This record gives sequence, C-alpha cells and structure tokens, in this order.
Amino acid sequence: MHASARRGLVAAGLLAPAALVFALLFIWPQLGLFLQSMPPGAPLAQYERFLGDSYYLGVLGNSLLLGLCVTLVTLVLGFPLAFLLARAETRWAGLLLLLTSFPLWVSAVVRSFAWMVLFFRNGVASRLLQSTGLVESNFQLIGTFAGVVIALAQVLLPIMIVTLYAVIRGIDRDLEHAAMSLGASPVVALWLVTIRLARGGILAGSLLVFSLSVSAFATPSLVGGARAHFMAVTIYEQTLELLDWPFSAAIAAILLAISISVALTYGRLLGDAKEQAR
Amino acid sequence: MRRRSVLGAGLGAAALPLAGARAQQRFAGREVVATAFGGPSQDMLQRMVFDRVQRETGARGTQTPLLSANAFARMRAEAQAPQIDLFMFSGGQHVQAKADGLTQALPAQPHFANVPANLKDPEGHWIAWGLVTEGILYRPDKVPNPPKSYRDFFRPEFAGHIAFPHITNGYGTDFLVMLARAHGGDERNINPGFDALKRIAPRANIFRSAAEVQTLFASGDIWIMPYDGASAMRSTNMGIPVAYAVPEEGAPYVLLVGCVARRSRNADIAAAILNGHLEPEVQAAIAKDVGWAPVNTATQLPADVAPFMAPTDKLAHLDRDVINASRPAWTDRFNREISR
Amino acid sequence: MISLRSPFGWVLRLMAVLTFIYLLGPLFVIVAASFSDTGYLAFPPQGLSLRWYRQALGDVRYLNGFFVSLRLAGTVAVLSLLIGTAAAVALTRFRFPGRALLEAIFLSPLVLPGLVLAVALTLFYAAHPVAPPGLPRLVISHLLVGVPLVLRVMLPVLKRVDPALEEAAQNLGASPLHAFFLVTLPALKPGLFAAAALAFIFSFDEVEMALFLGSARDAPLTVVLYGAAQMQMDPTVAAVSAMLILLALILMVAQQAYANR
Repeated sequence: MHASARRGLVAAGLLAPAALVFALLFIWPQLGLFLQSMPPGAPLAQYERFLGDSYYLGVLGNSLLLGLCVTLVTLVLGFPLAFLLARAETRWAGLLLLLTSFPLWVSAVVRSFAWMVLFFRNGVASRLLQSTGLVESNFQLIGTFAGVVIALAQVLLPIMIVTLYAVIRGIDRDLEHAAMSLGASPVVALWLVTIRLARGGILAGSLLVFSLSVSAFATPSLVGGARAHFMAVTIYEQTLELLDWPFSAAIAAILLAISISVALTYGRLLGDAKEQAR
Repeated sequence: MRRRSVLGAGLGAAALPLAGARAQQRFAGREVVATAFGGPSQDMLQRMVFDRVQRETGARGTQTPLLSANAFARMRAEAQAPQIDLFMFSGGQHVQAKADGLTQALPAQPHFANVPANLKDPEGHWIAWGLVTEGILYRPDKVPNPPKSYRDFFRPEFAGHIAFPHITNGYGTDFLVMLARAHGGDERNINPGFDALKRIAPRANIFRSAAEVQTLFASGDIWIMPYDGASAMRSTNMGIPVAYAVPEEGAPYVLLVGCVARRSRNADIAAAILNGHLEPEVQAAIAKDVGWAPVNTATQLPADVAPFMAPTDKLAHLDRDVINASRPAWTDRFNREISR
Repeated sequence: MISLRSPFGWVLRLMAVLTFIYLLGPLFVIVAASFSDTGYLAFPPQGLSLRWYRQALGDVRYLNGFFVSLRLAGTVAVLSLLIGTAAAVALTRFRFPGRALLEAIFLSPLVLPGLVLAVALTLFYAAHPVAPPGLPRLVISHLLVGVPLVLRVMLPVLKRVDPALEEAAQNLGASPLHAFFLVTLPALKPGLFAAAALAFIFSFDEVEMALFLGSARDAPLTVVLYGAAQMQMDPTVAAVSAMLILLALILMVAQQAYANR
C-alpha cells in the first residue's frame, strides 16, 4: 500500500511538467479555438457544413490517403536502410545515419522548390518519366498527387529512419541468429524476428510520419499547387484568406478527433502485441 | 544592390521634413515594429526610411517579414496586446481591419496631403504608400505577338504554357473579374469569368505562392500569366526575359497600405515612418528598384520604369466591396470547379 | 545475425543506395543552384558564381538568425528531452487509468498544421501573457511539438527495454533511481539521441509559430529565410541552405573522426 502510493507520487512527478505544458499551452488555447467553432445559436453548424459536404469529405479523404501513401513509401524505403545502418559493422555507419538526416537541415520550403525544379515538364524527374514512355510527352509531376507524395516522403523519410533505427538498435541480434540457426532463411529470419520485434517502432514511426503528412502545408501547397486539396491547405485558406475562424477551428477539431482515435487504436494494437509477447 | 545603397546614403544626409527637434524628444529611446513584404523591398525601406527615422529621432524601427494575410491574422489574434505597431497590407485587408475596429487614426504628416483622396482613409486610419498595377506577363522571346487582351489566354499557341494564381492570391481574384468583364460580365455577374477560367484551367499551371513566378517563367516552360508589372521588372532584372502588357480591358491594381494597431502606443512614430515611405525620393527609389508605382503626386517618376507600370488612364477600378463580399463563395466555387 | 554478404544483404544494399539518392537528390539541386550565376534557382546551374554566398555572408541578418535559431532549437531540444522522457517513463512504467488517452493527447499536436497552433497561442498570449514576448514565448510554444516528437521516439524504445532487468538490479540492492541510471539509461542512448535531434531540427525549421510569436528583433533564421523567399526564390536562400549542409557535414566528420580515433 505504502509502496504503491509512493509509486503513484513518482508517476505524477514524472508526468507533471508535460501535463502542465499541455494543459496551459495546448488544451486551454485549443479549447478557446474550439469554442469559436460552436457559436451559441448553432453549435453544430460548422461541423455539419464540413461533414455534410462531399467536397470537404473528399479533402479529408485526400489528406488521409496522402498520409497513408507517404507512410508506406517511407516505411518501405526506410526500414531496409535503418536495418542496414543499425546492423552494419563498419565504423562509418554512424556517419551514414547522420547523412540521412541532411534533408532536415534544409527548410521544407527550399526543398520543395528543388522538387519543383525537378518536376516541371522539362525537369529531370519528369523527363525521366517521359523517357520511359509510360506517360505522355508533355507530362509533368508538378501539380499531381504522385508529385506531392514523392516530395513529402523525402521530407519525412529521415524521421522514419531515425525512429526505426533507435528501435532496431535495441533488438538483440542473437535472436535473429537463433532463428537462422533453426534453419530459417535470412529473409524469413528478418521477417519473423526483426520486424516483429520492431513492431512498436514501425507503428510509432508510421504514426509520426502519418501525422506530419496530414499537417504539412508548405510541400503540398508548393508542389501540388492549386490542385492540392488537403486539410492543412483548407485550414490555411479559411484562416488567412477567408477569415472564417469558426470553420477552420471546426476543421482542426475534426483533425484532432481523428488523431486521438487513431492514437488510441494504436495504443490498443501495441497493447495486444505486448500481451501476445508474454 | 550597389545603386541602391548609394542612393540610400545620399538621402540619409538630407533633412527629415518632420517637426525635427520636437519629434526627437518624443521619440528618443522608443521602438516601433512594422511588418514588411520581405525581399529587396524590405532591405531598401530599412535603409531609406527606418534607419533614417532612427538617426533623426532616436526611435528604433524594426521590420518583420509577414505576408498580408498572415499579418492580418496576427493583427486580429493579438488585438488585445499587439506586439506589432505598423501593419502593411497589399491585399485590401486594411478595409476589414478598420471595419473590425483594429486600427486607429494616424496623426497627419506633411506628405499625407500629397496622396490622392481615394488612396487614403478619410478618417486617417490607413494610407497607401504604393500601388501595384496588374496585367499580362509574357516571355517576349517565346511570344512574338504581345498579348493585348485577357481573351488572348485562349490563343491556341499558349496551350500548356499558361500559369495563373489561385483565387486566394489577390491577383487570381482580379484575373477572374477581368475575364468576366472581357466576356460581358462583371463583379456582380461573375459567371462568364468562371466559364472562361474553366476553359483555361485544364491546360494551365495554377500556383499559390508569389515566390513561384520567376521559377515558373525560368524553369516551368510558362510563357504567359496574369500578374503584376513589378514582378516582370524583377524577373527582367534577374535575367529572365519577361515583359508586361496592359490589357485593353484595363489594368487592375492593388494598394500597398499602412495602418496602425488600435492599441499600439507608437502611432506617432508609425506615422513618421509612413511619411518616410511617401518621401518623393523614396517613392522614386521604390519604383525604380521594386517596381511599385508612387502615390505621392509630387514624385518624379524615373523614365525606365514606364514599361512595367500601367498609366493612370488605363487603370481598371474594380468594386472591391463586392469582391470582398463575394470572396468566400468564389473561393468555394473555384476550389470545386476550377482547380479540380 | 543476418549476414549482409548474402544475396539478400546485397538487395538491402542496393535499396539503401537508391534511398540515399532519393534523399539527397534535391539537396544536390539546391547546392548546385546556389553556385548558379542566375537570379533564380536554376538546375542544371547556368554559369558559376559565388555572389549568392557573398550576399548571404554580407547580410548580418542571416548570421544573427542562425545564432538565434541555434539558441532556440538547443533550448527546445533539451527541455523537450527532459519533459518528454520523464513523461514517457511514467507512461510505460506505471499503470494508471486514462493512460492511453493521456498518451493520445500528448501526441495530438503533431497532426495540427502549424498555423492552428500559432493562431491559438497568439490569441491565448494576448489574453494571458504567461511568458514574456519574444524568444521565451517561442521556446515554450515549440515544446508543444518537441515533447510529442520525443515521446514518439522514446515510447517504443522504453517499451523494448525489459523492466525485468531493472527489477533484477533492484533485487541486487540498487535503488530504483540507481537501477534506472545503471541499466535502463545506457540502453536508451540511441533513442535519446534520436529524440533530441528530432526536437532540435523541428524547432530549427519551424516557421509559423516563429512568425506569429517571435519578436522582430530576435528573428530566427527561418523567419529571415521566409522574408527572403517571399517575393521571389532568391538563390541567397539556396546558398544559406548549402552552408547549413556544409556545416552539418563538417560537424559530422569531425565527430566521427574523433570517435574513430
């Protein structure tokens, strides 16, 4: 009894700083904004306006799809690289890891401009695609969904790699060894052991990249141009150009609700994984 | 760059036509913060206006880059406790700011009298210090016959080489209105404009950020777009051949306006700063280096800027009240019908 | 352990090389364009000129902005790491009701566009000036994203560290705190490093809150770059970015050379 009370005190002490920052700077200000989205006369009007309109639902769908695509691309490219860096025995592995973080040193706006130069009709990337014959000769990646995914995934890939690396480094490589000596091929060993053990990291990295793709503004609006119908872009438009703060607050609240439910589901998934492991 | 600094240094030596000694006492040790449009204009204004006011009155002036829309959002959000005194707008936000009670009256300044009455608030809440004329920008090396009308966007040779700004960029709105006018409509009857845009959009690059204009002309294989003369001038200075054509339907324009936050305690310094913007030499330097037309009627316009500015009799006066009231509906329609 | 010399290892390597090209390709464009003689971002570059570097180095705002950003991001990284790791330990080592919801709330700012946080905070500070304007306000506001980033990295790392080890150390007579420092902390090192790096880089690159909450006098580098890129994409911006890359490269090689001594 006494010990559990002390444990509770320790937990509260550890949580207190984060709780204070969030209560003061996140919950309070966002609540203020949230109240704006519910004017007394018609508290749900802004929400009906969003949820009852196929255009806005399409925008939401676009954003979720963007998040999904970017997450998949970063995961497929990031996992092998993170694995290689975590397992490589060369002393330059650390250097290579830091090299992956380079894109983060250049502001998203500048990186997006670089992508734009590559994506225009005469740009290197569009030319490359044209030469494959898969697209028409005047095809350009600028203003396309694929272009936004390519540019945004490059921006967020380092974050995925860093998250995965931190987890893979913590996995005991003897376990992989054990699986292989039991006769499993390297691919199967990797799948069976590493990916399973890194599940927490994969989920965490995916959620991180997903959230950041949904909230990204600079890259979608520059590379996607006017054809970028995403949540963040809509929020910017409503807040800055149309000055409809109640509506933009409602859109933000919807985003928050989705994020919290996704995170809760994620927590449950991870919880299940833990139960299974025991 | 070099030319500018010489000009700035020369002007610094001139006397400030401000109530000299008195202002010096009142302003000494105080600080005023203003928003700025960034880029070369900010550097030049710092040298020619802010630094000079500081030298002559002791009031330190700092600029912080903030686009009009961001600036207005910040003005609104911190209305109770403004961190910025002087707000500069290029998108007509000053009208809304005054209507929302976010501004205050400015003490009169010598050069304010030289600004035409339609470019300043009768109650002194805002005053324009520059004017940007819009029109058609094109690559003279790719387009042998200069465009003459907004209807020229339908010329077949331009297919795939057109760019135009999104409607949330003020120039995008004006393009819509001018297209409507060119096809028998106007601000109140916008349908012809949307019909025209709908035909242009599928073969056009629709962009959002003003910073993209040069990139589009230089690397994007774009030959023609509706934009402002100042951008054509800056592109030319950068080595991208871009010319400016005044359409026969007339050239819309936007005002560059300063206004002071209602709770700011530095309206007097801000007014002196705005007066500095209106100094004829400063007005001429702004025109020469950035391409924004002067509004002080006493200004001698430098000869070489004429190709990038529409003459006064060619200006198209749009009904901004109707446009502002229609903005949400038009934006909605644009997003659904044009930028598919 | 999986041999990297097997065919499968070579497939991994090929993928890694392609990924590196993809990651660094745009940076190559920026660095190349920064040497271009044109007044706009050109790739392939036209002509060769160092004038954008001269311009960037001759403008004190870039250097001042760099140091402001360094101070800002450094403070944010340290505070986020302390606050975030403490919260992550509480969330993984203790069971209490509402834990999952708390975790979800802690992570939710990441999904909001920067503008939403910036506007909400501007409204909040105007009514409740809980922190002095300028850098202090910006630092505590950046914690809203820095702490979730740290949490995101540290939660799975902490979940992987076996509490049984800690318990074993305690059984051998170590105090809980001592056991944590003795057993858990070393296993957390790569995670802590990654978490701090993410928080630092986020803060170093953040624009919206800096525009809305920052002071004009202590403008971080992002705000200076925002100003420079407003009316046109000035190659000076590319030159500044290239110098940042170079600086990161120098620091990296120096660190590695030191570590490999």
